[in-house]
Amino acid sequence: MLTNYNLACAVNHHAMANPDAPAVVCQARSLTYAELAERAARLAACLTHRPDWQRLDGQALRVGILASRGVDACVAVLGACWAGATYVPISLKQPEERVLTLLAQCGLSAIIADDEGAKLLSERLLTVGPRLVIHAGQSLLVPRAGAVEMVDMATLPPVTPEEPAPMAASDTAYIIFTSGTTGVPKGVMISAGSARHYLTTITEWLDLRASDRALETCELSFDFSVHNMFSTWEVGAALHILPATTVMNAVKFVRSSGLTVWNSVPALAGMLRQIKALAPESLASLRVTVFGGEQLPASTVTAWQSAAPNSVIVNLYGPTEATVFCLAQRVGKPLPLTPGRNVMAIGTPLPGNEARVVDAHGHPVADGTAGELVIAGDQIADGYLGADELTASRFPTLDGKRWYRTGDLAQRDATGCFHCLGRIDNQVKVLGHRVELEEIDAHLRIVSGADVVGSIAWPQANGMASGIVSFVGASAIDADRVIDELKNRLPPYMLPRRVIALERMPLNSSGKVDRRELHQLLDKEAG
Amino acid sequence: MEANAKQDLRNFLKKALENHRDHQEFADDESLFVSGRLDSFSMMTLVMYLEEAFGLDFSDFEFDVNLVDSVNAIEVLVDAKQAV
Repeated sequence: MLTNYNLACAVNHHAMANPDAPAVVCQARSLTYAELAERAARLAACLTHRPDWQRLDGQALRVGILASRGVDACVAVLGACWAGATYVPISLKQPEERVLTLLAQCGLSAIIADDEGAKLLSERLLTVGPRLVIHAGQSLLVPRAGAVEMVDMATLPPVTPEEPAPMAASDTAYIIFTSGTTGVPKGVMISAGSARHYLTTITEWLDLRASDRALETCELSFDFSVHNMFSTWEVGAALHILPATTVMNAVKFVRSSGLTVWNSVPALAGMLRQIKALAPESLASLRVTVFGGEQLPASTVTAWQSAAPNSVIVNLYGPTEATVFCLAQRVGKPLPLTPGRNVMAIGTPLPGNEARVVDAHGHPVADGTAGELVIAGDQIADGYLGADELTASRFPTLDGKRWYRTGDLAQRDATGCFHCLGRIDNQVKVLGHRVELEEIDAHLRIVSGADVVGSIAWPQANGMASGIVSFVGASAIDADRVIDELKNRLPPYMLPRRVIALERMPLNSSGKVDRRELHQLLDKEAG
Repeated sequence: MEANAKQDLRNFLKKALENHRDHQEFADDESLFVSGRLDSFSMMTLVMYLEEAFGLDFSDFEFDVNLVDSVNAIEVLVDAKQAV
């Protein structure tokens, strides 16, 4: 019998083996595995029983998910999977223009929206979008647009449960859009085979168990959510979703729900540390902590080790293009530091993945030498949706193998451990000197005591910068003192001319500091 | 809370909202964070502001968003601290 690579299979399995086990909990709502499977199957039936539900050119159909994290979002994602479709999360926090660009790229067969998402369904969006919209919440809020069929999720009739539709390893499981340097979002296509490989590997590597209660802090449009949802459901555990508006209640939430697995970007832990929420043993129920998506500072780890003394901490690294995470580092004592950076190493490739540091020509460099990190193996994306040229340039064949060029600057040490040194495109030249902005940030964190910082080369002209300006996430800062202390740590050309306190540091949709917006801020100020 | 301290607090929050391109008025009992008008990063800077302006020590109690969700909520927190 052929293997069914459909991501919904695990939920279906647990729904039969352990129907009453909790699968997802968010605020007052929760669903058992049996309930989650039933809702997803019902949603899937609404899609697959339509006469026009036919694979095109052998490709899985695509279903857009317009939902913020919550129970309905989980049902929507699983329903799309169950139907054998490729699910495409659409972030709610983006301008309508960008959503329209995205819709034009995807050719969606349907959109599933939660009540937040349904509010965004403008006439304009419905005109260019798919002809079927399944939505939760008040149908009164949803405008009627001529040819579009609107179906209220609550009115879907019960169905005789069917198995999740068969999907091959080569079928696309999901498409997640990441920001493109050119300004047009890139749709990363991940196959069901890659996703399956990741989930099998990571659940075993982290030793996740059916008894676990795991935290969700990510929106669907950030691929960390793939890890959170599907690694939890892979083992039959419960996913506890913390809504964005109360995310700073995370510590209390862990305690009151008795969570055992933490999943978040390090920035959230950094912010919790700064509001003094990380009291010693305040996270005693945790046994596994997963940090990923950006550099993990030592200050965050130290606070975490005291707050969550019973938890192992892992630092996971990976671009969306290599299926969520592909390198992993256990963080114990002594801390696995990246020399001179005060951040954690990114460790070694997870099983089925291969990593290399190469020079500008794609040739491997010696250990200890910095170069671009490239990844190969079972988790490499099929490429970017409708962008063959870009796919070819980012996924070159080297030594007969397909690699993904991460754009991250890295080095491997003598023990085989990889260290991420920042983005290659954050490498700037200041008056001819080569400067890694992350390096300045690392020192700025220590000197300012703030976790969320960002430096940029400014002003710039003809690709050359004449100085550095740094931003610190704080209500106020003694800039003269900080610059004085940085003088002891950085060469003069790396020293910020100004250190500016920002009450609201611009973050991108993944929660990382948005350097482009910092540039705009200064450009605007300069008039 | 003294009247001018409260005005300073309101100014701080007003600026935070403006940073989010939110120029709507806000009543003293209006939710600012749970409602989604301000984000977690603003919450962090608010906590740092309250520590500096009122000598609050947030490590004294378990953090909850509702404690700082409105001007009225913050006033309760500050008055309790000043009563000690």
